[in-house]
Amino acid sequence: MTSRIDLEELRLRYEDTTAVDRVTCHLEGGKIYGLLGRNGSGKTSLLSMLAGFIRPTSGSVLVDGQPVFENPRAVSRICLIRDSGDVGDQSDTVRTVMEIAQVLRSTWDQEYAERLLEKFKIPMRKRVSQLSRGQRSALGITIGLASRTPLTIFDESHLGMDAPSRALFQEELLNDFMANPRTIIVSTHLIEEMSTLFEEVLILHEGRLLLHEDTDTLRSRGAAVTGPADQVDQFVFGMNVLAERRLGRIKSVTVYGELSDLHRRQAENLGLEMEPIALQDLFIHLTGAVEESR
Amino acid sequence: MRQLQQRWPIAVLLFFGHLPFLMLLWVALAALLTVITAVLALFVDISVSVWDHSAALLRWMALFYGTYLTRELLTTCVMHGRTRRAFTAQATLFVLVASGVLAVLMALGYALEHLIYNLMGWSHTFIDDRLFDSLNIPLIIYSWWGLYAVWTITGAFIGAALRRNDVSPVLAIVLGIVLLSVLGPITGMGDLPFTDRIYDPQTTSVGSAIGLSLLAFAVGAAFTWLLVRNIPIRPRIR
Repeated sequence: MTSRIDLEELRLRYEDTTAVDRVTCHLEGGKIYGLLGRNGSGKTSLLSMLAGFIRPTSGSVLVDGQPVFENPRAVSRICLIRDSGDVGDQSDTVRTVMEIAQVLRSTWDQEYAERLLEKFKIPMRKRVSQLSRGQRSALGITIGLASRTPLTIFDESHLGMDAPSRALFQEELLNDFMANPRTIIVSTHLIEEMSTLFEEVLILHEGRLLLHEDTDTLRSRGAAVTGPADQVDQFVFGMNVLAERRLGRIKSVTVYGELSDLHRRQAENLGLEMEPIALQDLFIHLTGAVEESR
Repeated sequence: MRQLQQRWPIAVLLFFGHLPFLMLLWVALAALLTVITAVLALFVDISVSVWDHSAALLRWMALFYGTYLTRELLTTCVMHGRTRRAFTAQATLFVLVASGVLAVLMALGYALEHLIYNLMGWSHTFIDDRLFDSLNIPLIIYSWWGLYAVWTITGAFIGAALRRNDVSPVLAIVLGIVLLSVLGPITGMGDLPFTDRIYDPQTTSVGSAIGLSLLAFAVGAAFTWLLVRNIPIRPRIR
């Protein structure tokens, strides 16, 4: 089961601050979406409205054609896991948190939850307050995955997790997505690390939707060119350079803008390697460029 | 059971998870008060009901539990895909029923205490404000039921106000105190240490008092719903 999402002119204001500003987008569902944005760009606000945690100031949020806020049919099909771990009371044990989820979630998979806890090495008897930051994040991820909701959202849920745990999260997310297709949204600052998961990417900047595109299309918007420094400099002359890295005589330059076949042949003749652009470089460029243009 | 869980999951969580815990608290309290009574008896002549005097502590526990419901449990329920409306309806039902169960246990405590006091030859007297001045079980149940229900729902109201950013916590607490001051004494157990009694239960019939208690509870529940119905579920800061 997957969920289609339609956001129309969505807006959220807190007193004199506009957290989300007239966001319109349509996600057909059944994919893993990446939601990127700098701190304070409105990601958590947007996701909170999508899950019915906050009522929008104006505009509409539809999941499978149904409004979300206070709609029992809609919200029971959504699970939002935020970085702060709303999964339970701090004095509860992990076992209690699991029991609560089992009672409240009709789609809950207890067996899978227990398997995940074992993999993340989280003891059932420990209190939430006794868990480390990374373990609390892993508990949130366990709840998100085991909820098996048609729309599952992870908002910086992997914060504080070490590299092996994050790798395990990605592996489990992908495996479970393949076995139980659903709509998944992952909001993250670890862009390169998570980008291999994303089929589509949305970039939010200062409350507005800056971009919504297929990941492959997005990557084709530029290239990383690597080779001897002189040849690289010759090749990228006049191009829009986003980033440069140098190791001895070897240089790697990220350029923005679609490259023609002529460019590609030229690079080949110069003995340069060309790879798709790193999503992180593109993100830095796009969000930085918006600020520069003001 | 599965059908019940699908239809009333929050109520199932509260009745099967919280109520046994609250009942265990009663057992612990009963044990503690028995010990206190026994120790006191070594030094002074016992002439008042120790069980009755525990009310001061218990009403604050009810208030605290009420704040927990809307400050903590509401977030967990919404996070697990439940609506604020479902939470309010099922939690309100729970508060009403659980208060009744605990009130019956309190009455049982009075009865056991009465038995022990009789055996020991002690006089079993209660606080002056009470609606009952002897072991009147129905009146004791009503008094405690009203106390638990009204104080818990007031706690829920204050908890909801504290959870919102747009309601002044001070204003909410003042409103809570007003609610308890005006409506609490109807049970003969609600006079706060810092407010005078504004209502004399001795001059009102039991029927009217029960009606007023229900009205007090309904007002508290309505106030709570006003705050909960669109409460933003913001991240908990840890």
